[in-house]
Amino acid sequence: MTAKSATKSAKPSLWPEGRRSAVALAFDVDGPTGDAMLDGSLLSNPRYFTQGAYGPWRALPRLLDLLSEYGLKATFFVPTWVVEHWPSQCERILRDAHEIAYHGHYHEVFIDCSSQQQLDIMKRSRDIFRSRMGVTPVGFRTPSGDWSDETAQLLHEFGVIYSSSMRGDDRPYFHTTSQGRGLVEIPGRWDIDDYTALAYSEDPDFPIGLDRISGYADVQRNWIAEFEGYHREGLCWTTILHPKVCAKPGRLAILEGLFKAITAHGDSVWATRCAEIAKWWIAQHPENAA
Amino acid sequence: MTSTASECSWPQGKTCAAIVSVIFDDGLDAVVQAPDLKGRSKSFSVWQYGATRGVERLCHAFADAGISTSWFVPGIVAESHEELLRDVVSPRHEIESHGWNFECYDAMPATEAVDLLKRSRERLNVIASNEVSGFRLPAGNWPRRFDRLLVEAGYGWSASLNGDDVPYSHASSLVEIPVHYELEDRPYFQFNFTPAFPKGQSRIPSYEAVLGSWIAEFDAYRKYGLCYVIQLRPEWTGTPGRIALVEALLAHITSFDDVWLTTAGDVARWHAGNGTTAPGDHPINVYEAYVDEERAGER
Repeated sequence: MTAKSATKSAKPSLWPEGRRSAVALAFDVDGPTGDAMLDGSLLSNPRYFTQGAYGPWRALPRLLDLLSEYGLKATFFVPTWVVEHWPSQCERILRDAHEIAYHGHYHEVFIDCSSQQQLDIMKRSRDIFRSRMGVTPVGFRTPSGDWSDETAQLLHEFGVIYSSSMRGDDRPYFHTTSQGRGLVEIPGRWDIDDYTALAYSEDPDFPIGLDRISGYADVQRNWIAEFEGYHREGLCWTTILHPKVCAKPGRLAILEGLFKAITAHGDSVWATRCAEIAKWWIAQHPENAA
Repeated sequence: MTSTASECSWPQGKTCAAIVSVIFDDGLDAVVQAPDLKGRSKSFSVWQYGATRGVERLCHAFADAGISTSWFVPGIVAESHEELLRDVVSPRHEIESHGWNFECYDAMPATEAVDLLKRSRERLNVIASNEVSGFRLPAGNWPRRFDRLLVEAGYGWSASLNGDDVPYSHASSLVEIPVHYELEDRPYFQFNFTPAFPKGQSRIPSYEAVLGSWIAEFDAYRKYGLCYVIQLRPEWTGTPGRIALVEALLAHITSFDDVWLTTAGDVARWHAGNGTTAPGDHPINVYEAYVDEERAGER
C-alpha cells in the first residue's frame, strides 16, 4: 500500500454518511423556446417549432416514466413559456417528486440582458411558477450562453440558493458577491450535454457545420464513463440533458443504460435533486467558519 | 399516468407501424444549397449517382424484402426520369409529391402554390400506380395554414413536420405523418468536397453505428407502439457499400410479425378513417396558439 493511496482513502467524503458521490440528474425542458423564439424567426418555421414542442409533448412523459421505473429523482429546468403551454406535463414533474427550477421565460440569453431585464424575467417566471404550479423554485440554470457579471448576485438577492450554470469544476462551490458568499454553484460540463452528441437540425442549422449525429451505443458508453469517473473520485455529477434530444424513443435506451449504471452502485451514489445538494453544501460549510 | 402503453392503436392488432420512404430529388436538394453545382460536373455527379444506380439498387433490396415503399418525387424529376420511375419504381411502390421544382411555398401567393401543387400531383399521377395523395415539403418553410392549400390541391396527407411520433391531423383534417432527422440517411452520409456538404465537412460516421441507432429507434418505436418512418435517398444508401445497412434494417423489421410495415398512404388513410383530432396541447395546435398570441402583441 503506497502512501498516496492511503491518503486518498483517508480523505473524508463530501457527502452524507455512506455516500461516495452525488448525482444530480438534470434536464432542461426548453421545448420550442430559445433563439428562434427570441428573434421571431420561429413564427414562420413550424417545422422547427414542432421539433422543439416534441420535448414537452412526447419526450417528457416517457422520460418521467423511465425515471420512476428506476426510482430516480431529478431536477427539471423549465422556461416558464413551456409551463404556460404544457401545464399538465409540467405538473407531473412535481407530482413525481422531482424538482422544478428557473431557466428563463423564453430561454433568454442573460448576458444580452440588462440587470433590470434579468430581474424582470426572474419575476415573470416566479409569478408563473407560483400561480400555475404553486411552487417557488430555489434553483437556476442559465439558458444558452453566458450570464453577465451581475447575474450571480442578482439571483442571490432574488432568493435563489443555487445555480447549475458553470463549467469550471467537478464539485459544488460558492459564488462570491460584494456582500460575501453567494449562490452555491453545481457545475456541469459539455461532456454530458446531449447537444454535443445528439442534437441535429437544419434551418436553423445545428451544429453550425452540420456535424453527424453520434452512434447511440458510443454515446451511452461515454455518458457512463463520465458518471463512473465522478463516482470513483467522490464528486458531484450533474447532467445537461434535454428531453427533445435525449428522450426520443430510441435514445431513452441510452438513458436507461445510464440509469442502470447509476443504480448498480446502490446507496453509495447519492442520486438526488440539485436543491438537496445545494442545501447540504450550505449546511456543511457554515459561512462564518470559512 | 403511464405512456408506455401505446399512444395509438394499429389495425389488425399490430403493435406499431413502420414506413420505408425514399426521397428521390436527383440533386435538386443540393442545387438549392449550392446553385453553382450544375456547372460542376464532377461534384454534381455525386447526386446524379442516385438515378444512375441508386434507385435500382434500393428497389432490388425492397423486392428481396418483399415490401412496398413510399417515394417522394418532385414533378420535374418525373419528367426527367419518367422511364426509370415508371418501370422500376411505380410497379410496386407508391409515388407521392415532393413539390414541382424545389420551390419555396412560403415565398409565393396561395393561388400559385395551389397551381404548382396540382401540377405536381397530376404529373406524378401519369406514372404512379397509386392515386397520388401525399406531399413532402421540398424547401423553405411550411406557410401558416398550408394544410388548407394542400387539401384544396387534392392532397390527403403530408410527411413534412415533426412534433410527434404517431400521425396527427391538421385543422383542415390533412393528416401529418411526422418525420425525424435521425431517421434520414442524408444527415449521416451526405458528403462533397467543394462545395462543402455538410458545411463543416464532417467525417462520414461508422456504418455499423448508424445501423445500430436506426435499429435502436425501431425497437423503441415498437416498444411504445409508434409510427417509424425511415427516409432513404438513392444517392446516399443506394450504394454497394451501404445497401447492406438497408438490408439489415429491413431484415430486423420484418423479423417481427406484430409490425404493420406498410406505405405512408395506407397509414394516412387509416388515421383519417379514425377521425381523431389533435388535442389543444398538441405541438401543431400550440404552434397556432403561439402565432396568434404573438400577433395579438401579448409580449
